[in-house]
Amino acid sequence: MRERNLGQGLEKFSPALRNYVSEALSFDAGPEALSGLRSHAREALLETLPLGRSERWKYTDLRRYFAKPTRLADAPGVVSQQDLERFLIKGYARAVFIDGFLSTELSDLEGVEWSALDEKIVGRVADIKSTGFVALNSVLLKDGFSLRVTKSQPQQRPIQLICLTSDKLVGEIHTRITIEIEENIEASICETHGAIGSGVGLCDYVIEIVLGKNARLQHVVHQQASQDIHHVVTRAGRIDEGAKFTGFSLLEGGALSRSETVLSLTGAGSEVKLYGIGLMRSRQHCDVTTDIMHEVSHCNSEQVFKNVVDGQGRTVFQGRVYVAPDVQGIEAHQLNRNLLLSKNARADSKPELIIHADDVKCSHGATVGDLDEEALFYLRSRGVSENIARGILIRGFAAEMFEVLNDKTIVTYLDEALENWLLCADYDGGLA
Amino acid sequence: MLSVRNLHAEIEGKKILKGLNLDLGFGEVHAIMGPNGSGKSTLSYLLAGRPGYEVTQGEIYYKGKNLLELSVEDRSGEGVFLAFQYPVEIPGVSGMSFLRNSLNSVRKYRGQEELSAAEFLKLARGKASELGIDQVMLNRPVNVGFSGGEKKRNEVLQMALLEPSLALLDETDSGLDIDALKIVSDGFNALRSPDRSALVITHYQRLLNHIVPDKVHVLAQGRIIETGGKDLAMELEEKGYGMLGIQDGELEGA
Repeated sequence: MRERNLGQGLEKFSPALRNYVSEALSFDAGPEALSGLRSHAREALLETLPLGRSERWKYTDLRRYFAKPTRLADAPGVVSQQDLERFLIKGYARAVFIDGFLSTELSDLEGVEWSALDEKIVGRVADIKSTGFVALNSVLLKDGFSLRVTKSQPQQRPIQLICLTSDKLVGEIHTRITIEIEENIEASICETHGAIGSGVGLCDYVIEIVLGKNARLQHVVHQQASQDIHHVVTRAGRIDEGAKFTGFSLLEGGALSRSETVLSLTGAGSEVKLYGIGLMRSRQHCDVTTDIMHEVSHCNSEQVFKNVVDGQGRTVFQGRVYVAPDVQGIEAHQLNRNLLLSKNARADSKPELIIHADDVKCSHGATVGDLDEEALFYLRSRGVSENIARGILIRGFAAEMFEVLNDKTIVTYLDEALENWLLCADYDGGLA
Repeated sequence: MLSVRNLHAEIEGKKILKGLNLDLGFGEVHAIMGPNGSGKSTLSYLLAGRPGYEVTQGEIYYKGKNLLELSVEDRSGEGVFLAFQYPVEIPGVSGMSFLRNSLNSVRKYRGQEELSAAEFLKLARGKASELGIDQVMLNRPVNVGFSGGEKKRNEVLQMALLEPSLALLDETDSGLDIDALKIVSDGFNALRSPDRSALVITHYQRLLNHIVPDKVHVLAQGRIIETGGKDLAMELEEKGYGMLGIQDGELEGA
């Protein structure tokens, strides 16, 4: 009876989608401890899944995927230590997920405080009622992991969360990760999303982040996906008084990729900085959607995202800043710059400010352009061939973002990814 | 070294040069003076190969080669160097990387071995300190946030590394205070040799006290209307372009 109610309105969908939704609604093989969350999420599923047109999903259309969705992946593919090697950052502890499942053999979590998904935290930050993947993830999640950095067990090594799809993957991954940084504690985490071989399907991660008072988190993301993967990562965070969240993403797309970051600033003196670079080519699609909520007085945010778009690639930047009624002393800035390298490349930029207060300093800006002709001439007049001059300028446009990072290991790691991208896109970035 | 014959050139349909003739011998330094809008910068851009200019008549021979047939980068390889009036800022590209790419490209063109990172570093540091350029500045993005003087010094550093045979100094004195002017001029003078020539484009005589030219040309209305020795520059400074029957700025926007 209940199921029929939840599935109401399904008639308009394709048989494959109808089947998909009713299977999702009857799925109950997730962690026992999360059965309560699952049942709430089921109720929100049809309303929140981006199956039709919606403002938040205007530029990233999943209808084609959902017309012929794949099935839930039941077991991870086999990945060897050797396969893993190229994704590793030296000196980092790591949690390795293969096709959405935590692999304890491949992980190295010595000195890290972690557990199976902690039901006290799961669902505390990510809103199952928001349009997107939180409800679906809550209904279908099979595995995940809860990470804590605490006073009793502070971080000895930075932590890398390595989320890979295997060659074998044909299906959907729904995985949850929670990160909790206790008050006054500092942590550094890097999410690496990558593909070994060419998996097919949907990769859905929801990552919940809680920063206690005066906590500091550097959260780096490097995302790649196979060309047949739809890659959706939703990050939801709560930043308490005096806490600072610094995010830096290097995103390389996929058949379709969406990086959604929803952060609430819930205490005075809190701060969010989000920086990112998107590198798209061939037919890759990358959507960066952010939602920064200034809930209290005296909290600041800054966002700078740059995209390099080649071939028939496409990028979307939707940055929303919300300032709650009657709060004071807010600074919120965002900037999106796009470099289009081909006629068929496309960038959509949509800043949105929702401000219900007066004492607020907000700015937003977006630019779209080609390489600077003056700079090109300058380099060529110094003997550099046109092709390499272009490569150097593209590289410079992206690498300029690294200037906000003080972490040498991370800059080297991301710079290598940038270098590889340029090579794959047939640009010679010259000598470093 | 350089022979310009009856050069006519335009940009976006606007005629700028109208029959310019110029001969520059090996080891010579010629100054080109003239009022605003007379075509001084156009001449330097044409020699360096900047896109957007169209030569409708005439020819330019450089060391016996038809310069107009060479790409921008090949001209640089052949030894043409333009010191920009407004050096370009390149965010995200460090000065060191810019210089090394540049030097190695030119060395490759000239059939010389490319320098390793270590060899390059040693060379660049040495040249930079001769010009009073701080190491820190070289690690910063090219020209970003540099003062006018720093930018011009950076141009001379590039010139010192690339060792051109034809240097084109386009208003290198603009934006320089007296000290910077001296450093930049000394840097240039150190490069003077019997097989290197230069065209020094300037609005004022001041620079020519430091860089003493063999000849001074006055460019107006798209051609050279007067040629003399270094005294011509002094005379112009004193009497103004009016002595030649032209007014400064008369061609602006023409």
